[in-house]
Amino acid sequence: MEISSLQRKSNFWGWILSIPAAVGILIFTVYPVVYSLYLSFTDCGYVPENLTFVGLSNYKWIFTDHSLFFESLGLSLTFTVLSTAIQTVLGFFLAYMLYSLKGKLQGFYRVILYLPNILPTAAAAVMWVNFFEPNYGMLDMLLQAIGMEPVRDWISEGSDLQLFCVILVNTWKHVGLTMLIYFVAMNAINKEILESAQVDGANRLAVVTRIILPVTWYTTGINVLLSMIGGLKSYDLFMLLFDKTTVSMNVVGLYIFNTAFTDQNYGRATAMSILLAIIISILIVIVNKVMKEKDE
Amino acid sequence: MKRKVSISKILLAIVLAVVTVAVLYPLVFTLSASFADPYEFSANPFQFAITNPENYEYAWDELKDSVWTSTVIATVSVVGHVLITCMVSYAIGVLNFKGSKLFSFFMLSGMFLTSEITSIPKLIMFSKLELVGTVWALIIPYIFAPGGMAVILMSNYMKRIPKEIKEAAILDGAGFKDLFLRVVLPLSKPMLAFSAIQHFVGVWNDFLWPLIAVGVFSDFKTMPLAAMGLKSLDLSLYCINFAGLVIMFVPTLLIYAFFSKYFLEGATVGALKG
Repeated sequence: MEISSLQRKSNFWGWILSIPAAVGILIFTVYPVVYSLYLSFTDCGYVPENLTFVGLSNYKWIFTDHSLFFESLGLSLTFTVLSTAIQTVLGFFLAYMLYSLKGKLQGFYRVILYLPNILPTAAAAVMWVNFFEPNYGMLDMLLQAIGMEPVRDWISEGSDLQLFCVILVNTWKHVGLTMLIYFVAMNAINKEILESAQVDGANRLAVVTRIILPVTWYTTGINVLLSMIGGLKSYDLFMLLFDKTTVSMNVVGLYIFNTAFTDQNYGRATAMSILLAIIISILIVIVNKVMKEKDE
Repeated sequence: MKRKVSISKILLAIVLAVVTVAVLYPLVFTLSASFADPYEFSANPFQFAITNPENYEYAWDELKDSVWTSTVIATVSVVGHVLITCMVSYAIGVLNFKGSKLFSFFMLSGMFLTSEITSIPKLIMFSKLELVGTVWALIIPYIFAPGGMAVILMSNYMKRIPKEIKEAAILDGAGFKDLFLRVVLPLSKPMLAFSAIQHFVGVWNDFLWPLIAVGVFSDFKTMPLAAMGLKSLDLSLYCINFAGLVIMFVPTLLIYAFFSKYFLEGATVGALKG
């Protein structure tokens, strides 16, 4: 009797206390997803009035030559693969160095290397835009200081370095997180295993490749997934680094954004964002599977 | 043998120092440019001299409105968001009410959505309410949009508070209200600080939603939107723009300096759970 009334009371207060969160989920997650799905089957411009149901035609449009969806998705994939590879390898390397240090020095480097992560993306990106500036940007000044020719065209349209520049900024900003996640995983490795390997005469390289790398494989999977999802969704950096006239760096998120808010075509934009969400989830499942198989 | 180890240690320290310089130098350069005279600086950029501290006056004049806007928005939404997070976490973690499992599933599933899917309906919703371009279009979603990770972490934290403490409170005649306010909340202080800081920085740094919901021409543009105006197109503004960037970095850097352990622990816990 006592217990069941307590449980009833718990249920009652549980629901009462969850009301604000439930309202949040309904209004800002469930409703937007359902409404986006609905819009993707309509001819919605940028005001949802007098909507006509157009069936699959927004989705069909994505596959026609008029749509740049797959082109921009290709660019996103290139960016994602390159930046994920660089970030994961560099992150592992940094984490291992951090792991080899002890005490205060370790704490110091950990705080410093993670620092770019917490800076506002917009301000950090604009800072880099100023570094890429052709006449008095920091990078060209550095090159000139060591007696090399200035590059001038870092991010301007037609430059071969555009993708390199985004990856540079992206890595600078995000490698700290990859490093930190690896670092935590390395700290969880049983110290005795490492010590006995060293007693057996294994050198550093062997310890890394035979022990640390296999043991942190699960972590590699997490890091790869995080960077991949981040990379495919990323377009704020592209929007901030390049000016509006740049068409060569039109990643898929940016293309959807412009379809929605510049071309003011919500129907097509929502169709593309739903397709993108499906593609991203399929990729996540595949990568997850590959990582798990290798783990076994 | 011993010597070999110490040499490789030194090598490690050197490589790490180089990486650290690569990470920090952009920020040091920004700081030194922000105090300089643009014409002197462009001739000799690798000298640190405080010649033009008035750069900060100009930059501050440009940015003070958006600093104010961002501060108000971040503060108000942190208070609201943390309150909601506490309530629902208590419900899930301590009261363990019927349906709490389903609830946390919904909380989490929101995290896997891309922002494009939700931003268009959100914009339509706020334009129907005629709130686009106002701070409410930012504050309301920042308060109510589900913070899946914060809820999972906090409800787990509250669950781990020893049962004896909770039961003793109930036996002493404390109702659920007292249990929440006098026992669970005070014991969850580190988690409260953690989610408040995470949310503050998240709101403070958010760029895309303010761009959509408020826009760069609004009176209520936030700091990240104002940052777009700091691209140097003209040498005369070069150093002032860097001063502006410093102003934008300082608040997050201060928070990081005081609470770095929350960032460093939180980042990994979040990643490993997700």
